[in-house]
Amino acid sequence: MALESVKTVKPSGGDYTSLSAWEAGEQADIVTADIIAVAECYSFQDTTSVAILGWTTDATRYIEIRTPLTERHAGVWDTNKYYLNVAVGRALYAIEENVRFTGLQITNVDSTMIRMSPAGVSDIRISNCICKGNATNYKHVLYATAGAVGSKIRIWNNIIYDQTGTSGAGINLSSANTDFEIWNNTIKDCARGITFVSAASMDVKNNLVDSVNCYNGAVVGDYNSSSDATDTGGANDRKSQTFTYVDEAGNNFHLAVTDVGAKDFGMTDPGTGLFSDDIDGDARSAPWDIGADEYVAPPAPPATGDAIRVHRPPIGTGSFVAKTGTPTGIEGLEFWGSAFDSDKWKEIARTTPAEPGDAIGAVSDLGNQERHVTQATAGNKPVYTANQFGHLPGIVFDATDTMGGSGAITFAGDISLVIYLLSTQVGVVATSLKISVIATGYGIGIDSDGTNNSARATVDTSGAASQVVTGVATDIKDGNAHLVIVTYNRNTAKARVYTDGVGGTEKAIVGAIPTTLDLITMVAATSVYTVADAIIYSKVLSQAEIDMLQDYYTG
Amino acid sequence: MPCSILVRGKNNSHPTKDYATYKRGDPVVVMRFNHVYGKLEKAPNFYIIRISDVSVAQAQKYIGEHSDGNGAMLRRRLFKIKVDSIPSSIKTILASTGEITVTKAQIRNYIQNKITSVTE
Repeated sequence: MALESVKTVKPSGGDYTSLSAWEAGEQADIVTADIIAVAECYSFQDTTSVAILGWTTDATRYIEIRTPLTERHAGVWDTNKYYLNVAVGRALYAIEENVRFTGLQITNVDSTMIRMSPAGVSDIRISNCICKGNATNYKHVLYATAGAVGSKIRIWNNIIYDQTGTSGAGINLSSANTDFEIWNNTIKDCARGITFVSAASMDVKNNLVDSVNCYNGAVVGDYNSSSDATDTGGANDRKSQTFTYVDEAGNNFHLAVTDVGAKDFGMTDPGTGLFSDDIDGDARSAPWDIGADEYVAPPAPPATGDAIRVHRPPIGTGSFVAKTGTPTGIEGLEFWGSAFDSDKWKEIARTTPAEPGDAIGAVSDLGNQERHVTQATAGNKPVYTANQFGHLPGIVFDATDTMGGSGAITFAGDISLVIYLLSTQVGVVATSLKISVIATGYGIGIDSDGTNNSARATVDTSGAASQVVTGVATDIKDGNAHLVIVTYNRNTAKARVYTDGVGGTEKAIVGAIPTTLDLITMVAATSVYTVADAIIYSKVLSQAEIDMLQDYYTG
Repeated sequence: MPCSILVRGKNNSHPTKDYATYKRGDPVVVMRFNHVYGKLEKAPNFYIIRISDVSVAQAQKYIGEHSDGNGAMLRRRLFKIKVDSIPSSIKTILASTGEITVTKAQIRNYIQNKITSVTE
């Protein structure tokens, strides 16, 4: 059996930074290589159209483009997850015969989302994807043409919406040699739902089409539901239905508990074991729901005395709010150490998990770059301490504590440092987060002003003495948590400090920071302070991104 | 915002679909000037050309396919970067570091339309 050859597509730290580059770099005869070529896409916006062609594949040595489950959307369009957003032309073009698309989000402005046009006998599968359409006339979201006799295209558990141009179909079946198997898709607000032009055979079941012209042409199936008077001719079809979603205006097409159009009206296991869950991984239960979502009742609220786990609530307030994004949603993430979410370890080898109260020898990198920060010397280890940020823990550094190492990193361009911390000690925090060339000291760090306790940055270049970049006059050592960010723009040679989202005066920097720095040093020097999160990006964060981080930590 | 272009460094091939394979010099993607590329997006498989005075939007045309006008691909890319023809001093940098930073004036004579052979 062929083994998977998995390559990652990530905004930073992965094998490739675009799906298009993955296709160019991995294009090969994978039958001879006896592999399954997998592109594993992590959270970011990818913008280049991808045509899959020039490979040699077969039914067992195929191409799969997927998101790992931990990086996948939850059945609702989510710009904090991987999405392919192409400005001009089709987003994906599967001309190879054996290709699978799993768990993707796809949109574009003027064309087809996935065009399938293989020449030979094909086995193409599209599952658990969200496709957001456009208003271009005569363009279809999923559009299958060509294929030799014996071809099979399977499409299940997808949500497709807003293909509104004239004749624009959610799924267009236009391949006379292809057996189509179309199961459990939700097609919403398209000019046409499923359009039939030609097929060798069709097995169309459990589809929810809530559009203008739901089934167009001689679509043949059963257990399908529609909002208009069209159907697929099956005895169990349900036409002229009204569907109720969790949040239709917000494009959340999960079935609401009150739905009477699709819930429990589907055929159980139409794919004969091919899949048993829904678009976001919920297990199907008999009788299956029609559409991409299986309604699952929410868990019962905890009763008095039940143990509960609370994950990253807003600090200092009593209510939960929806966050607008996460640090991983910003491209260029190079390092993320977190007292809240990273693994903390008692020793540098990272074998014994630390509990609150333990001196720690390592903090894992949440940025998936393997840049874990460490401290081997007992007397220099900070302490993982409970109840620092409200009831959440922090990592407490005293005057002798440091963490760092993890090797060099190349910053060809810009840098942003982010630290979420609190301190109650008056006095200079000599350096709280710094990246530098250890041998020379050249680099950039966040610290605080000894007079008014405001956040500032210190920049050391080879061309000048230490240069201080001041932030706004906010006391960051008042016992409350503060988010401090410093940005360094290599092109303009300017740096700026943001305190709780508010930028100070941009300062011109004399000389340049080296492009290769040793990540990362956190030291306390003369003060005691507590760190929740420390993050490094290889870009200048925009005000919108800073606002998002501010919301993430304090909103 | 100035751009960078990821360029294929090797020739891919296929016995029957060679027209669709990437060739040495084919521009693959256009990114921001300071884009940090992935672990496998480097020489000898790829080269990075950072152009300080061409925007990302302006460079998009270099990653267009050569198509028949009806959507069928004739070649993977219409344009190519003549990486083997650039001046030896720059080529030496490209070979040793995998990337170069240039202006449009420096690179325009080495960006060529494959059909018309006209350079930029």
